[in-house]
Amino acid sequence: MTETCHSQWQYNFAFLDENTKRMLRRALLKAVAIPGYQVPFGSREMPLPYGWGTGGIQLTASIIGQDDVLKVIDQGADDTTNAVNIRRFFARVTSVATTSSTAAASLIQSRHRIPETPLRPGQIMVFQVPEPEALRTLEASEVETRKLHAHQEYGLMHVKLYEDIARFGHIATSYDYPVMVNQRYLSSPSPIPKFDNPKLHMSPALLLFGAGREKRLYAIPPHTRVESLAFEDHPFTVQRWEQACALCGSHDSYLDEIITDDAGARMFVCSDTDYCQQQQESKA
Amino acid sequence: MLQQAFDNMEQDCQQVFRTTLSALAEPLLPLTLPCLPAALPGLKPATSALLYTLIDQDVTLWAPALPAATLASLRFHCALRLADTPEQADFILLPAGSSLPPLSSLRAGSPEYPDRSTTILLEVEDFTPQQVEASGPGFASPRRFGATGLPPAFWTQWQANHARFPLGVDVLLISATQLAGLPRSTVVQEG
Ligand SMILES: [Zn+2]
Repeated sequence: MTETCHSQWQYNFAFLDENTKRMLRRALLKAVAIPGYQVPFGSREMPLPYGWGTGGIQLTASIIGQDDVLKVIDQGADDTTNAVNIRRFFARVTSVATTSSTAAASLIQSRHRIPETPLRPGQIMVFQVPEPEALRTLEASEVETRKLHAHQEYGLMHVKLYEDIARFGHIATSYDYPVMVNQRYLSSPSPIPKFDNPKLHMSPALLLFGAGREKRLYAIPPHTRVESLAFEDHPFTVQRWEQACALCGSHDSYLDEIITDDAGARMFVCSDTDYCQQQQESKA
Repeated sequence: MLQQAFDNMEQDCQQVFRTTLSALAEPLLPLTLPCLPAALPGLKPATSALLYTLIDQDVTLWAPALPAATLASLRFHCALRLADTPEQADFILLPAGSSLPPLSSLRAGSPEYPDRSTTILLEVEDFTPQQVEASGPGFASPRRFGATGLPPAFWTQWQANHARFPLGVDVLLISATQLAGLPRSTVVQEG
């Protein structure tokens, strides 16, 4: 019995059984047909703890094939524990090629960032999503949020953002900043910085979002309108830095502040490690 | 007599799925399927590939009368479950020359769950560039598209289907070896 289970795991390319893959694949086709709408998927459990990116892993496992070249990032970096583990996992169960180069990848699984290097047609990005419902903090009931989406009733979200303006003088939300997809569905872009939101608009790549705990997935097809919510008197703006990256000198990338010594000295560096390296090499 | 399905079921289904995903992500851009099984009697090879890739015991399929050998093969390879009427089906298979049930009579999902809808596998003769101009998600710019062998008044019905967005049905247009996706989000203008 144990032997059978063992060999079944070994021989299931990409780790999921074929029934689960087909179920996810059918859901993905619906998601692409209804941009920004959250498609529920079946409840087969993954033998992985939530928070490990199960939603993203399930999507990647259902689409990956032997010709793919996989890149995995966490907060923009290819070398963090989470990214390394997921990349190794897929290399082991699929034998696909892996890369840290955005340009070389056909499939990019990501937590918290979109690469700085522009995506290209044919690429697929898979986002790990902890909470797929953009309205959840405003409305706890799934029945109610479904109704709000059905009636395109998004006033609550505008009120929330406007309260930010009243309190802080600006919209304080800087991550997971809500977007309207195809002028129809209010969607969570996942916890990417709002700096990355403009990259969602008319992206040439297919963008897929997977939430493992909530068992939902959604999609933004290529060349689809994606607008960050804003007000006429408070247009949407992205983060900007006075500094350039301390390593590559870039003025255009998303920067992380890091502490460099025990005395608390700080510097700003690109969060996208692949991009930073490319920039350094091109200047060397 | 059972038909042989794909040579390598797992890999070939993955390849066909990726082509299907691309076809819906960039609608009305005919794509050639990377691998084809032997055609099931009465169906095109590409249609057979899509059935092996998408159908299993968790969904129902409606089709006009199919050859017994085709049904037997689909029961064997896909655990096929037939729906009694097109209105109940998750997938509708329309071999070349079949009449199209009124799209407005088919499952279009509900306002809360628009994904609970039907997908139609619709065989055509071939793709030609000359019938409609289409736009919407997945179109960098409007694209011209046409297919020979479409049911009469298909595009008129399509416009009504799109008008129900986000409700509606999705269609996969299938020639012998190619596939073009037509998700409900696609806007079509005739002429
Ligand atoms: Zn840098």
